[in-house]
Amino acid sequence: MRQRLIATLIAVLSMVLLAVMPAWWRQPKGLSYALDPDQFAARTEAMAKAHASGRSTETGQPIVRPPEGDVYLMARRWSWYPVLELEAGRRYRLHVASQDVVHGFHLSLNDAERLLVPGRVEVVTVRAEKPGRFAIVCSDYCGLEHNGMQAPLLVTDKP
Amino acid sequence: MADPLLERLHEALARSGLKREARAWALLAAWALAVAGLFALLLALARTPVVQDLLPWRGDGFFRKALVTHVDFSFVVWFLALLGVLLAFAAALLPKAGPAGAILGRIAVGLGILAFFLMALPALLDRGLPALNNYVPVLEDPIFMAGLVALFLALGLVSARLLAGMVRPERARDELALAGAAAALAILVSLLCFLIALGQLPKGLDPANWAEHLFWGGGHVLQFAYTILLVAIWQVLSRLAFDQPALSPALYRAALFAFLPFILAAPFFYARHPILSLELKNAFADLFLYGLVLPSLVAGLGVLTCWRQRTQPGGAAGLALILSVLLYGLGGLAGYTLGPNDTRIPAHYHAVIGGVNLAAMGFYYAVLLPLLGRPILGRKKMAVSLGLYGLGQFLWTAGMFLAGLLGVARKTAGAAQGLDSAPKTIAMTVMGVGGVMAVAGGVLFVALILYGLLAKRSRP
Ligand SMILES: [Cu+2]
Repeated sequence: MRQRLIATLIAVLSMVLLAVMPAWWRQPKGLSYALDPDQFAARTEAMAKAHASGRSTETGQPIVRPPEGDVYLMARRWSWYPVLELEAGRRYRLHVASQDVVHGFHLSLNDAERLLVPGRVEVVTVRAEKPGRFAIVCSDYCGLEHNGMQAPLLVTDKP
Repeated sequence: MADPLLERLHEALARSGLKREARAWALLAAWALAVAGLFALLLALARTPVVQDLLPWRGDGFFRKALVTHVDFSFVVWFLALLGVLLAFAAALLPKAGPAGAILGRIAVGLGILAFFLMALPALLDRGLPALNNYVPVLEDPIFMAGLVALFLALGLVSARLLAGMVRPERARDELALAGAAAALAILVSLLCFLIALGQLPKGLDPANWAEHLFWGGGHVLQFAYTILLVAIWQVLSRLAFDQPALSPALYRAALFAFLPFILAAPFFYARHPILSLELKNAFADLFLYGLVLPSLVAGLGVLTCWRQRTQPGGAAGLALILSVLLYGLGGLAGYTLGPNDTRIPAHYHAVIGGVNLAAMGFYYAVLLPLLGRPILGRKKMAVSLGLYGLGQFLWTAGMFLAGLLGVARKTAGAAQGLDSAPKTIAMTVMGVGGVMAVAGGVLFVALILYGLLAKRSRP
């Protein structure tokens, strides 16, 4: 008798779990918009040129220190461009897009994740309270060097 | 063959004429592990100085192809062939197993054997572009792809055969028949997911992206079939080892039932979310978190209860069972701490897979060999293989998990790993020792079961 009761509970619980699964109601987070990859590259390049502040010894990419507001990050096989250096306590709108194939964007700072489908730009709000190094990794299999597709996000103290 | 369960299976296999089919799947599964091991050896040799120059294959290209083949044989072919055994057992246990079913089974076995060669050859011929995507890594090569299709078709056929024979539920009293039906459903739904994804994926997508998103959904559903197999094996091994099934009939049915809503829900995700979206990816990840935990927890607790109440030592079946539950549980716990791109991910899935493998080892020793070949006489050999594999997997997982905590990126080798601190080196060393032990246990297991299945039978 007790066995049957537990069995019924298990069956009912499985249905409840199915019903409350976020899979049913999860909607795309945040903003995204369509933009030609070339135009996105031009915007990223303009930012990189205007606010260059060095070169990363780790990834070989230029380090860019843009002011508060819109910042750009390009994904391509198998790197991120450029390395961004942001200031703690400030709010940035990070525009991320892929230049070639589908990639995934994951930022350890706020656990933000987006799928980067070429031709669409994803917008992630970034605000770090404290300085530090945070990891950007590709979170969608994109080819043989997928696991090496990592970059730091640098956050510095206010000057 | 004193055990009533083995007696009943023995009688059912003889009556239905499905014994040869079951044995063929059991052999195919064993050979799949042997081939996986062979490719693992080639992988190691390809990275060994001097020796690598003696191999007919060169460079990173071959390494990746061999890695793809190794993963597919140790993860896809091995488990699908094991499911073939379960499905043949289940079909044999039905009261009405007709000759048409046996012919269908023979076609499926033929397709399985064909798939085996088509999937193993391309890497050796250095053909095809490798993609190390999740669940079913592929070589972009028509021969390899044909092999994959043949394998899925084979399992689809025997799954459909079983479900067609089970239309009336009163026929499905037996534990293995019930598990077979649930697994068959998971296999068919997983194939349906592959087909839906195939239809929805845009043309001209990069091959790496294509393979990842083609197999993501159905790959998740396929893990339900593997987990159902695990629960069924735990149930049977617990009966053989401790003279008491892991779960009472009502609880066992409830645990199997608990998988079904999630399996059936999976195809609907493709209607709710675009094929290339994070929401679709996460929806399938939800299936694990919400759908796999409850039934495997119930079954695991059932096993541990039986073990506590045991009145007999349990033998090889008992050892396999306990190691399997512990390793699987450890892997499940590790799953809750996953970071997006570190070695805790492989720590999680290697432990979970290791748990299923340990159960499968016990299943071969205690059920398949006595029924389909000849039982292993030396208890020590079985215990050694289980102990080495189990302990090795524990160490491997612990080392990998630790390395993940310390932030070593996964799937990269050598200089790129950033082994810049002593703790990381220790973690990787523990992992290495564990890996060698697990491989030794695995090799002994494969040798034992191939011998047990192929040696001339002493029993009439
Ligand atoms: Cu990527």
